Amino acid sequence: MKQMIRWPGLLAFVVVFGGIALLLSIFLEPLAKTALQSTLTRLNGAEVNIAEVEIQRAPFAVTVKGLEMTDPQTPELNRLQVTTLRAEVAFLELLIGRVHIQDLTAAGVRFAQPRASAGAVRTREPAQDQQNWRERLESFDIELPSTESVLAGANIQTPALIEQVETQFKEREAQFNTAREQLPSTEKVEEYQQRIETILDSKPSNARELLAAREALKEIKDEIEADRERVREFLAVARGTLEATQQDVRAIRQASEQDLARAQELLRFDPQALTELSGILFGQKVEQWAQYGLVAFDFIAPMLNRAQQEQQSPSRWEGRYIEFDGATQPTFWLKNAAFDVILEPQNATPVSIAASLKDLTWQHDRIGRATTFAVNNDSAPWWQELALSGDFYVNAGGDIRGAQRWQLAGAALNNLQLIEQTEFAAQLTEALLNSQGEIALNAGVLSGGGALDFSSVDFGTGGESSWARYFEQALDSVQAFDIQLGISGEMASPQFQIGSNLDNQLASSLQNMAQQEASDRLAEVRASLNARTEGVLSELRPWLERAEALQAQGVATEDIFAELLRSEVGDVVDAERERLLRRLGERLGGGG
Amino acid sequence: MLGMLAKLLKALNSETSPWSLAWGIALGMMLGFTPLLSLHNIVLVLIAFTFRVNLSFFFLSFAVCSGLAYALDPLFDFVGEWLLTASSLQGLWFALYELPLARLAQFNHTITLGSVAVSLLFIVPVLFIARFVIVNYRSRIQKRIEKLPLVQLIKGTKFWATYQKVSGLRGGFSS
Repeated sequence: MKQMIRWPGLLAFVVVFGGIALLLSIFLEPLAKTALQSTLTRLNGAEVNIAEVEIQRAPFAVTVKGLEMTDPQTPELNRLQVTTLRAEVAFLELLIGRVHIQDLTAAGVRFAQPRASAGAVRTREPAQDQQNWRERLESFDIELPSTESVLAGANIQTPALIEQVETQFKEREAQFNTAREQLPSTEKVEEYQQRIETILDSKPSNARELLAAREALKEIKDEIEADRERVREFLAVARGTLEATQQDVRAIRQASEQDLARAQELLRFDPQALTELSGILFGQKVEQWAQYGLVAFDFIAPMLNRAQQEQQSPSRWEGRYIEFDGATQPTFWLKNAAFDVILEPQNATPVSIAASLKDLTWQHDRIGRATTFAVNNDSAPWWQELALSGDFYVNAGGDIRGAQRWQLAGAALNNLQLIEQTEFAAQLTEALLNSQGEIALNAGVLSGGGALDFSSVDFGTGGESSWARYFEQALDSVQAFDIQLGISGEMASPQFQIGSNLDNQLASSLQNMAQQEASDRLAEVRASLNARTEGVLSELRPWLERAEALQAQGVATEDIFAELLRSEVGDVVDAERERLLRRLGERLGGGG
Repeated sequence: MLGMLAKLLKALNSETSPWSLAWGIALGMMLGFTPLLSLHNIVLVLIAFTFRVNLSFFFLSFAVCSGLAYALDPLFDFVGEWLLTASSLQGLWFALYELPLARLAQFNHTITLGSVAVSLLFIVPVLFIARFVIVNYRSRIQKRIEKLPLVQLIKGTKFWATYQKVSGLRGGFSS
């Protein structure tokens, strides 16, 4: 035996491997820190920092201090930050490649905390296709155009038409006056009448006198005929001028009405512009709250899924590892976890709430039950009750199903900044919030939603935009409202739908204000148009009256001329014949 | 380097047990064929250091076989794959998979298992062949080699002086 064993060799072996074991023991914690940082960075998809790792040998436990997990979407923030995290791990299971954590406690858990410097992003998660409330705010504009801009921009036709009418009218008026000047005077007409009566009353007694009378009558008729032609010319000119001028007056009135209608269209307030006001006001904030609420689905489950995928990818570097997993135990199993989560809402006292988690794994089929989580707190200074619970189950096919319920009662909100932009800023100065809801997760798709009831509401607004004052007045009248939150879409990129009776309240107020203002502006536009049309119409209307009177006078003169032209000397002969016949009858018949 | 070569020649030409040299070659082969950072290699090193295995031949064999292993890896991978997927052995593998020691030994890695299996298969033949070659070298070839002009020339060099110095020493790990 003594010859078989080489004692110096055995001693050398013990020294060498003992030294290696000692070095590993000394540097175990820094090595564990590096390994943990590397693994968590891979799972998180962005830089993970750990301040210190402590390893306890019996029972085997790992304590991580100062854990900071960068948010891949916003590398300036840690999406999760933990002051101290202690995990009691089953050592033998760890040796055969399984992470079974009996108890995990985490103190000082915070979300969305700013980092000292932006973290490196390893896997950029797909941008969430959410409603961009900022863009909506930028496109939101309920400002009405000014009177001047309406008149300038509504393609107003009246002024040009008035100018055209005035030019044409001047030409027509000149023609009319020229024609009117050719009209025989009243005295001349009376003279014609007098002269004809004289001839007719002359009673020619013989043929010579008769011929002379007829000759005189013909001369007068020739004169009358000439004047009658001038009267007819005047009447033709007058008819054309009057019709054209009346047409112009009608065109001016019509153009004015059309211009007014166009202005009214411009000033018409589109109620569609007032939809989704609650989304503009509360969209960002409610989505932020919902993201916090969905932390289990939005953060833990995808991380587990990624871990599962990475676990399944075989190592093909010099051969491969073949798994002989009897599917009896999960690869990762966090049996019990307790978290001390610190919420630090804006302008409110930070509050610590307790959260618990049981049976966290991605191989729920192996343990036969779902991961459950719960948050309960009824002693916070700024709410009366908070209860959140849920579960999720990842089956062998990798499909995730689960549900989450929440109930929040009597949460006092103070100075909650809703929107802070140059054009518009809104703040929920004071409100009382109650909320409840339920979300289901099936095959990785979210459905469901909840309600947020706000009461005792007081808003503060500001901003440089001209319509900010509309909001200020409208929000002043709001006392209470509710928001219906709908959640749908893929688990990793949830979509939020926001509906609220605040829309109706604000829309009603804003519409009333806008309509009142539109009416005022329209009245100004109408007054401006009327002033322009009345200027020309006040000139045209009296002229038309005078022209119509002159036309009537011309018509009467033309009638008189026609009557006079029908007078004939032959009538004198006939009258004499009748007189003679009457006298003959008296002599022959004795007075019949 | 000269010292190492001198030690090898001294071991070969001295009265060192042929079994000691043969075990050095066989164990070095297994260490060289299998992936270095494996649990069973610690056991191999422990055996080589603790028992009177010739360490010069152990390290020489390890160095040569490590080089050969790069060429033989596809063969080891094939053998490991064949063993790990053999339906008759599935019960054994599933049972081993639940044992921490077996997982640490990386039994489920195709090249590791294949190289260990091939090494175990060849260790006994290699052991006996190596012993046969050493014994025959000493009895038949050694004296003929010493008469060669080249060897005579070597005997006049610095290397020969080193060899003589090593031969004069006693003890150490090589005997």
